[in-house]
Amino acid sequence: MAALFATKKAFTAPPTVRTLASGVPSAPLINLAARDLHGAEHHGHGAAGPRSDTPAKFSGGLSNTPNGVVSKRYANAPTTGVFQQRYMHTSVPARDAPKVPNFGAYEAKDPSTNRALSYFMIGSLGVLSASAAKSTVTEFLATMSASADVLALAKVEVELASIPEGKNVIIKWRGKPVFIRHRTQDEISEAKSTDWKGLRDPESDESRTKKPEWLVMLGVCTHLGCVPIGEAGDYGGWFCPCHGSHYDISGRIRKGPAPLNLEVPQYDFTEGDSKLIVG
Amino acid sequence: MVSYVKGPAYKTVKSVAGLNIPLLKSYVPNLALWGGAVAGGIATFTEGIPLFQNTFYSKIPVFGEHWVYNPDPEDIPI
Amino acid sequence: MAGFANLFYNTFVRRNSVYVTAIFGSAFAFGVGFDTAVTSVWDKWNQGKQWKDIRDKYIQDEE
Repeated sequence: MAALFATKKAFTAPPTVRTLASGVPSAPLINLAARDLHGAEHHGHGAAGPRSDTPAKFSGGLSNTPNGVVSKRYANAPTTGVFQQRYMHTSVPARDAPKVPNFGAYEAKDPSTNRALSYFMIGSLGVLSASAAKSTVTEFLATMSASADVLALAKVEVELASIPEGKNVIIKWRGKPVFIRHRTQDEISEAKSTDWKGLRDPESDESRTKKPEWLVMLGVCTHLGCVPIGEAGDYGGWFCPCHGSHYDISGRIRKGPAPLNLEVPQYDFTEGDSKLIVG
Repeated sequence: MVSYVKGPAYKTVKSVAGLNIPLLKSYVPNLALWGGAVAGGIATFTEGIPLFQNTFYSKIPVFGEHWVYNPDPEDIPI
Repeated sequence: MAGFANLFYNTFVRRNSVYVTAIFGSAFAFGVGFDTAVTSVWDKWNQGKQWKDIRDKYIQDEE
């Protein structure tokens, strides 16, 4: 039905002249040698011939049939598919949708505030994420640190510059206190001048110290294992409050029940004698 | 008499793999800021490590004491 | 308010390098601040129960 409409109504003659994209007129199929059909009226110039502007064969033409001469014209290809009629109209389309409400009251007064808030929230999330990641990494690394059984055999490093002359420092080494005393010259000479051969546990001060100004020994009373008190006792050294053992300024037992001098641990001076390593 | 030049004199900036000195110079401020970002990241992630705490963070003027841990040896239980 | 928002945006966000630097710097400060805050809360909550609070009583007696 629709196709019939189309063939009936109109046809388009093939154009002979068109405009190229460049703007140049193009007439590709014009036969310039063609003559006018009415040669005689045009003073005889030019013989009659096929005109280039005659419709091409495929668009139709005359044909001889047993029923007589039939003229066929194929003007348009029949339309296929759905055919919809479009009307031109000037009427205003009916508004069947309800009016969109005004959302202006909900809009931000100033978009820059929203932008800053968005970036602030993003940044805050970044801060929290970085902190969480840092904690995770730190805790994981902490699992690789030395465990208590390793630490129990560890060496202890002491910064000697932090100990002034005439002062005691107690550090913890393998669970036991270690006394470090920065001895004054008087104390050194006193310790050296003592007649050590007659003591209960005879030891010279030289054999007990590597450097005379630094006295390093375990702070465990050799009697029953109390921790003696520094700068006390009858001999200006250490005094054990448990049972009254007196040690002198070299840590040797002088009076009381203890049988031996305070023990001297393994130690060494390093880094230009600025550090002491016990162990 | 007007003296004409034949055309503009072109100079080529030396470049290696598309990078040349003015271009690299233009990157410098931004790269410096990125260096700051990297330093901040490193600082964040090394904050819990004792070596870095003792070497750097405990020396920060005002709140550096946060990292100082120096208890009496008698108070450490083993 | 808008002025403050724009100040924040122009100072910290405009360059990504500054933004990232600010984030890491804040993370560093946040780590320290959080630690301090939690420690002080803990100490306040457990006031008088921790060794550092009662240490004076025992150490002075011994010496």
